[in-house]
Amino acid sequence: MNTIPQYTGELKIDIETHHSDSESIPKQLQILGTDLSVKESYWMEGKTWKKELQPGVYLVRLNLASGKRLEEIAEISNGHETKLDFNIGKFSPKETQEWMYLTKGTAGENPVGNFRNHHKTIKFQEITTTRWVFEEGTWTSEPEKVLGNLIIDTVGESYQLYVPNAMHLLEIGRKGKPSTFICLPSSHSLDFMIKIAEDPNGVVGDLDISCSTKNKVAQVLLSLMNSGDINKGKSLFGAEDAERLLYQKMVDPVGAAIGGYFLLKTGELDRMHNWAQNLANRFQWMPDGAVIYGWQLIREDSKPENIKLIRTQLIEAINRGIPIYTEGLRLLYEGLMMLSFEFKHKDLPVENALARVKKYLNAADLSQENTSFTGFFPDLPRDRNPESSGMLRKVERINPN
Amino acid sequence: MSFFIEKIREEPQTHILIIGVGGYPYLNNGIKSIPQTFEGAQMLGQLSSPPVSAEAFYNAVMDLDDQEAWIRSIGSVEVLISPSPNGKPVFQSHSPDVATLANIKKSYREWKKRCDSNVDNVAIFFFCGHGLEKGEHYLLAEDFGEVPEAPWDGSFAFDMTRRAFFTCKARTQLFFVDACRQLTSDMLTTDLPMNPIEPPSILAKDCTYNLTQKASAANESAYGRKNEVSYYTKALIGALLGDAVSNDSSEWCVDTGRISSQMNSFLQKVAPGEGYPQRCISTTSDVTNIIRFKETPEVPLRVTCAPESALPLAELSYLNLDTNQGETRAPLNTPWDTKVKAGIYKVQAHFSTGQFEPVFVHKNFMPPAALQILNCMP
Repeated sequence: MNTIPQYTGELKIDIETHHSDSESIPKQLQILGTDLSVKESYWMEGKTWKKELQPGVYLVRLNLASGKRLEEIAEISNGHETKLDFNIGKFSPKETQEWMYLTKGTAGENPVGNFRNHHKTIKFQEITTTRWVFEEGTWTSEPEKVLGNLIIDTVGESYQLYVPNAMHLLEIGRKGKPSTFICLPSSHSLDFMIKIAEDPNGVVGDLDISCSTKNKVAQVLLSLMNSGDINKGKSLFGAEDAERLLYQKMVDPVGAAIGGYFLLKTGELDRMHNWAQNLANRFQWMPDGAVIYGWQLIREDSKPENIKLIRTQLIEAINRGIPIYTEGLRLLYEGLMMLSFEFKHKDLPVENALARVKKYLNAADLSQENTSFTGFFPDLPRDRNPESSGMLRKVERINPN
Repeated sequence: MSFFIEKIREEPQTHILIIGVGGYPYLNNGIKSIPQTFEGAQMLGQLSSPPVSAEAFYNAVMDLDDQEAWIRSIGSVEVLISPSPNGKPVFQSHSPDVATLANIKKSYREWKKRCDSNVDNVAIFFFCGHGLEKGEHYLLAEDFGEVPEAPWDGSFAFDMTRRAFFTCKARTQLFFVDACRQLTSDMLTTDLPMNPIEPPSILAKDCTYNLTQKASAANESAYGRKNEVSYYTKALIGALLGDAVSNDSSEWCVDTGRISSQMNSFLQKVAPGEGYPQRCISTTSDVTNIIRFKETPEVPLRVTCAPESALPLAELSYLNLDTNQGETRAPLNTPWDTKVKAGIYKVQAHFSTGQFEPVFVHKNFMPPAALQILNCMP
């Protein structure tokens, strides 16, 4: 039996989840004094946590990457254990969806108990799903085997998808409406969830689609980056971890891409070394590697002699398809736009690449972590071309030379 | 005269450009309204909210200046306003220049020059008015539609302009854009101009602390009530004045990260029950504090009892556990509405009649407001 030293008490935190996997999702624990200043801050990835504290009253705050937060007051007294239970499982309507409601800011509130009661009859039926793969300049499609045809409501359904190392898009089709396309990161077991979107006031919107790899560190980093909560991202991982993500590219190239985007955001370019270049060169199916390398060159002292290489990388990125992450789509647009000005709008390959990226940007939902856009075909975002059809979509390569 | 505040010193300062465009004379119901050929221009008219929003933003800036809360003190505030015909009068003690494209360009360049004078300066840009988007976000000046065949002559490409501003030395750059981002069908078939106020440079290094926030997501609208401050600006002002405050580092500060990560929740609180789907979108880099309050912020607090029948019998009190100061209220029929400093409190109800058991809770109170219901047992 452990004995608690005199003049201190012990704070014990227990995390309740419905799914054991969710326990390992990183959670920020802050202990605040009576003046509400943060006395101590930790990231916990397990179910329980203990700490000796001086006697007194504290505010204990548990922050999730989704922006959700739980707070409890703890009264610590000499020689006693104070136990607080944080039930984070309550944020999710189903145990299989906890990963999304706990880590994604876009997930919204748990629809069970409020929104669903008013709208439980709302269901979208006959939702078709198609998997598109981009290889050698051609989009090819096949029906999505795991998902098939769906019926979904505001609670939604979740699935696990296999996505090999290639440029994959999932098309979600609804009768009479443009499809929603979402870029899928490669993963042996990609968590995927689809539900009817709701706005904060319960108005039914469109589809809400989320996906997450098993790399929880990278996924939480992505969520914090997406919300602009860079301070939390830095306190969770530090540049060393983002650096490690990038270094581990051989086993998890999409995790490496997230690490790369984070380092670009925080400006810690010296930690990128030549790994972004390797990411771009070794994973030639992935547009994000070329975007990150191109932007590393843009941010590094902005040397005029780099412009040719930047141009090559950004054109290469669009030739590989569409950046998996929205951050990449935004950076690709901005990079090409600056090149367009640099070359006085006369560099035809740059202008063609910019025009192609703009089409995606026009149709994209930039609030999402993964690039998603509406359209009728992967190469025709937004536009409807009545003469356009077919399940093989050849995309002309933009020759940088 | 568009310069309202000019107290430029050698030290690092905050320089602000505020633009509110409500009157569009060449569009629907404008004082020089002319038929527009472009669908995007045909559907646009006068806006009563932007001048009111711009004035409210200006007042918030000056309120913070009075509190000496800007970490970098105010060096300059420049305002351009195009009032809406029949709109609420604004800036009556000033005579701001109108927000034509020429004036916006001139003010932008001068503002940039001021921001450029010190790397530790803070640059703040605020725009409220019409906007359209096709990949690039176009902000519309007062003279949009003057030449119906070339309406874009009265606009500027915001995203490119924002990128171009990275050539400015100021390490902290904040851009707030309260404008719609809708796309019309004829925009889809038109090549829109690349018309930033200045061209972006690929050789420019990004600033260290960037927050670029748009009131709405792509293809969506920004909302507000007629003649009132728009929802986004209201939420932004609230955030700056204290809703986004934290004492994480033992100083009551507002930082760029919280303005980014919490703005959508502030928006929801500003317009509960409106049923509007507005989502603001932020682009950020590293995070920095921009506002530091000298005093602990105040929080409007309501204390009441459940059941309500306990309230007329309850002597209510609160005690700040940090300062050991508090207040007591004698039994009354109404909830206790008061203001407290942010912090952790002991809140209690005492019943001299003995009809209910005494009750207390420990609770933390933070801006923007707090409600404490004490559950009283007979």
